[in-house]
Amino acid sequence: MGSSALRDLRILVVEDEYLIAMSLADALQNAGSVVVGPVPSVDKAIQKIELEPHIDAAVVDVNLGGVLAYAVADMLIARKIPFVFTSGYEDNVLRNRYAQVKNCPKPYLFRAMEEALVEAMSHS
Amino acid sequence: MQFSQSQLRVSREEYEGANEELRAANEELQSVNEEYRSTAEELETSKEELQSINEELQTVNSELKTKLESVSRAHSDVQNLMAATDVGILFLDPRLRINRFTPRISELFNIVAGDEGRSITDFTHRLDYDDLAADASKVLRDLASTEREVHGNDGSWYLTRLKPYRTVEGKIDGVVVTFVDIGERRRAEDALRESESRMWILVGELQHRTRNLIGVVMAMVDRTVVEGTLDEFKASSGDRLVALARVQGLLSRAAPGDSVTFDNLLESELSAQSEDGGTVTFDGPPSIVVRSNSVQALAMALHELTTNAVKYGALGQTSGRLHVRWRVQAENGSPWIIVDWKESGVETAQPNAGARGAGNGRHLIEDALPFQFGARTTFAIEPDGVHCTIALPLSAPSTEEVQDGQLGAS
Repeated sequence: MGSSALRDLRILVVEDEYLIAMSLADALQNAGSVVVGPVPSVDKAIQKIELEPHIDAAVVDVNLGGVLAYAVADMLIARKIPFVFTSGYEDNVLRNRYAQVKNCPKPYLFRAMEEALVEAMSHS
Repeated sequence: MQFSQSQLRVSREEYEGANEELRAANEELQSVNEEYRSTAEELETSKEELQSINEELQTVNSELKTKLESVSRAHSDVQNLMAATDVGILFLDPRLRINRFTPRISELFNIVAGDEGRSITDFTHRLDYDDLAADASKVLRDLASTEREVHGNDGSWYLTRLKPYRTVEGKIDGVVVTFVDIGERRRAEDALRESESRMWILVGELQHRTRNLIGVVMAMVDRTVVEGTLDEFKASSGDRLVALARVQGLLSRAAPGDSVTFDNLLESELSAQSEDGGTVTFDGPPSIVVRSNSVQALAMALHELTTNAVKYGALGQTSGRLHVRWRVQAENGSPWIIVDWKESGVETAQPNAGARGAGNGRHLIEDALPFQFGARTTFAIEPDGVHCTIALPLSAPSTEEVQDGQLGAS
């Protein structure tokens, strides 16, 4: 499993749905990444980003327990950390304010998420 | 003789003279007679003319009578129309003085019978329409009608139309103002708009939810595979999918503004699984609303507890007892639900007792609920059965709540 482009990268997972978060964390670990988190909420994500000295990339679920994750996205952009949204739908905010951020819509296969992360990092 | 002869001559002359006179008189009489005859003819003609004039007058008279009847009929029609109509109609003269009005007008303006002749600007009204007099003057000036929707100060709505009053001869002689009650229409329109925007929100939420749900199912399958053999996988993944479907049913059946309650969830989960044995007792207040975001995870936790109890615990043995207690308590000012699931009288010496509570089911309670909602949970296998506690926050997060949490399981 060592051939993944995500090997040895520190990847933050922001996802409130436990099973999806665990599944993604497992897959990332299998690909050789170091998982930061997972964290289920905006507050916890912000805490994590502040405390964590190094994050290479992030996966951010847009709807975190009914709270929209825009504050997390803004913080990642400010710190120039590449990231990918996962969302069941795209609203106007996603389309306009974060036009440059790729959305990997749920449900996704890990392969698609891997590609999206690699693409996000190549732009930064 | 001579005398006689002269006498005869005289007489003849006299006779001739008289004869002459007679002739003249005769001629005169004849002319008079002719004059009489012509006069008589003229009279006859005049009489005929008079007769024809008389006939004409009679015709005109009866026409007038018919017209008068229809005018009086029209007048009484107008009066009945004015009295019967539900539309407020106000007739103003060119100086905006009241000429005539229907009963509905008295509800809108403080006008009573007898106020005819007074200026409309002297009266207060119950409409948000300060420009009425200005609009009426404009109609008189431009001879074009105007229309606008105005609302009354009691929430009612009227379609107000101002038109110039034209006499039959086409002369402008004032303004006709009509007020049609459109409150019902406005309310229907508002309700329609609201339900349409609500529908679009729900469609968006549903799309989000469906995609999320498939993601959960995929992850669940991933993790169920790790648990055991293919047969076990088939059984438990089927079970879990059915439980997930049951929760979706509960969520979608909840009426707008309504929510799923804890006793709903508990009953739905317990009644779905066969109970061969064991006594179940409940102890807790009804109708505790569970946040729609946490309904799914809580239902899955209850599902795992129930499945385990049917397979290995209190619901699979006649001696078994399950006692579920719950209550609401405040923590830092927000409400939490505290659930206590206590099984007792369970024969734990069964050979497969060691397998119970392992894997996915236990994770959902011990890890998923704390991770996703900050819940506090305990899960212990005690000598006579499982004892599980779940403390879960009930209130929604404070900031940037997604619009309408009805379908908002995330």
